[in-house]
Amino acid sequence: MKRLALLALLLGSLFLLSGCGGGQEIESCLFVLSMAVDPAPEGNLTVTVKALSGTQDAAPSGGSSGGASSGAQEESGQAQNPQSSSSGLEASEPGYIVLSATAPSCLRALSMLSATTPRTVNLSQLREIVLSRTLAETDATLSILKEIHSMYRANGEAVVVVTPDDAGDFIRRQHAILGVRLSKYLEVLFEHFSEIDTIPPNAQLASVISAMESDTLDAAAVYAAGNAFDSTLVLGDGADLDRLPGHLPRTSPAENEYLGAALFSGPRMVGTLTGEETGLLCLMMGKAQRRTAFIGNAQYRTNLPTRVKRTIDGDGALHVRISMNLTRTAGEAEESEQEIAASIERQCVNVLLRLRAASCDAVGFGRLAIRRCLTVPQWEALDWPMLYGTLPVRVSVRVKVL
Amino acid sequence: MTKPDSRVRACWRVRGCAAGLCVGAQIFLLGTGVAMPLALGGAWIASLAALPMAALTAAVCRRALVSPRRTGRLTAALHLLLALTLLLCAAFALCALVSLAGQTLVVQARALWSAAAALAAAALCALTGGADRLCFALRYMLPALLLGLTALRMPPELPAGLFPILGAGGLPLGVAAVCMPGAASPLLMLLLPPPELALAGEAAQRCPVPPARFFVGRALAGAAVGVLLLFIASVCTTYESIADSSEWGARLRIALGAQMHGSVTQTLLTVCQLIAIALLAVCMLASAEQALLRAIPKAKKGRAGLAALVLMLAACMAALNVFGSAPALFAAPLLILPTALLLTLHKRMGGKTQ
Repeated sequence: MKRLALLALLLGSLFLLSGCGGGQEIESCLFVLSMAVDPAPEGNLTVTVKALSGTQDAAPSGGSSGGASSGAQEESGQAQNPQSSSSGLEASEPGYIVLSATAPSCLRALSMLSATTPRTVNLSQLREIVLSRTLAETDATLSILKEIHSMYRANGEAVVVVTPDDAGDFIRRQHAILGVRLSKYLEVLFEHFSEIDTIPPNAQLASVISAMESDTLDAAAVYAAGNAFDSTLVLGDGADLDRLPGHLPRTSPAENEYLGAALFSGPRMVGTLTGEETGLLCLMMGKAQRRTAFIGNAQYRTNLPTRVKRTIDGDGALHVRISMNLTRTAGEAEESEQEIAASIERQCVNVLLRLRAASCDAVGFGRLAIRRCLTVPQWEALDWPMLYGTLPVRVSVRVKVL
Repeated sequence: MTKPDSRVRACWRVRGCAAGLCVGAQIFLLGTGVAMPLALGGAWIASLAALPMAALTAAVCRRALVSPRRTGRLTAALHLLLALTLLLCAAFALCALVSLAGQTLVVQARALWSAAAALAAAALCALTGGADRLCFALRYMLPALLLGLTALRMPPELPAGLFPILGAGGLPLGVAAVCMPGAASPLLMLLLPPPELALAGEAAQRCPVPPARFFVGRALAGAAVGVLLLFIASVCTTYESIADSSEWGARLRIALGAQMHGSVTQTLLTVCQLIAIALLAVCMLASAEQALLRAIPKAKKGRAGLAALVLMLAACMAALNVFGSAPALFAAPLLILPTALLLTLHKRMGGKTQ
């Protein structure tokens, strides 16, 4: 009797197990790799996604738009691009498809994509989220990113990118010029630029959202732009990467340039840093990964870890202490250790002043200031965002050339 | 030590380990459910209030065990109250199990089916018995895994969530501290001797009960693990993230550091935590049945006692499915009331005997 009851309970519980009932076929989902959000007229948003099409042929891409109503219309390819093919639609690269939708909110735009494309939108493989600068400079950025992250369970490691161009066009012209898969291309791209410190650390979606919500740290996203390869700019005496993306004197199949940081104060974008300044930001945050540096006509390498300490001094000054050991690997040294240190100090102070002027605490001095407060109300009464803009900055650099 | 003595001592060790694991899990659940929304990053400080209550509960339970067995309506009523208290602890644990599983491993499952599956699993485990022995078998591995995997989340520099150290302030911290002693209620299972002793001979039942430090040590060890887990969870999460997570399941997920697409380490941590919560639920259900059988011996026939308790649990889970986890979080700190009543009455009854 006991065994029968046990057996009955076991059989009954089998029906309660999910098993493979919730499994999803790869072809049943629209796996989005890149997503772009642009402002549209009348307060709407245009969401453009680049997703796997699962076919070998170049898929025609189109867009759907609608206001408050659920109606969707095919955009005329000729209106979009007068030089498009006779079919009126823009051809995408093989294996990928570009879709867009316009709606009052990001969620509704994604819902419209799910409704008009016969697949469920899946953001688990998302690699980048591109926001237009116009949109990033509003307070809507945080709510858009949170909607994408929590409602659609987007990959928290996706990198947040801000561009002064049209974000939809930014991802349309993005192709895997090296390798085959766009997903791997983007992964390696961001890894490589992180290693040479030309993009800010912690630009992932989850980290950016956390920093935007935090009172002790501000977010810094990647800044990128397309290059029309028509620039006749000649590099001057300054650092090669001490500029914003979009105008580097180069040619390449890849038009998009990722260089520099988009600075946020809370949810709103407030400024930018050039590639060189972003490297100094990484250094002051203690997250620099670059091991080689060109100073004067010599090349140096840091074989030992650089020690960075951030403090708030007794007089309230925001102080960064950097201690680095350099080994000269090529060229002739034209500057002494003190001159190199002084140069780095000047550059770091300039970056801190720019951050302070933009009310962006990307370095994280707020995380030091909060230690002096015992409770959250005490910290909130301190009004750190207001106080941060008034404090002096100081950088001390010690350089030893081995 | 003679063979019956060593076997009896082994039974008590198993019981003590199970009680320690249960109180540690309860502290973590109550901390994330009640203390974190109140005290934010200072929840771990509030959870320290559970330690003296855990020691006191273990000591009083031991004293009640050594007093001779009494019968009568009052004793039956006390056992019924004990059964009900332990049943509520089981309901709280199952609610936490469903909330955490719904945020991590079975995100797409419906809450009702998850609750039914959890209840069925708990009922089966209580039916076959052996949860105490499983707790004893995992007494080192489970806490080591939980603490080790959780500690992997700590950054090399000073964690950002450590400050402000008092969290939301003095008053919220005080309120959270007042709520935490209810986490010691699973230790009420120590009022009941190990079920194996009831099946053993007269010689085994006449063996002395281990000293108070035996139980207090195990209770404090388990409670300390719970407080440590809560400490690591609090300091690795900023107070803004804690304040922003309105759902208990979301706070549990944040406490475990579980991301949407977690690594193997995070998944293993989630599984270990789910096992600990499941063991808490099963031990509470089994102990509730034992207490019910002491009050109503006739309920032993056909495991009617367990069936009745499972039905009551099912009703609780159905209600929680409708109203959410808020009633469970509201009622959990109030478990201190029946706990205190039981301890007081048992202490008085034990004192009169002496």
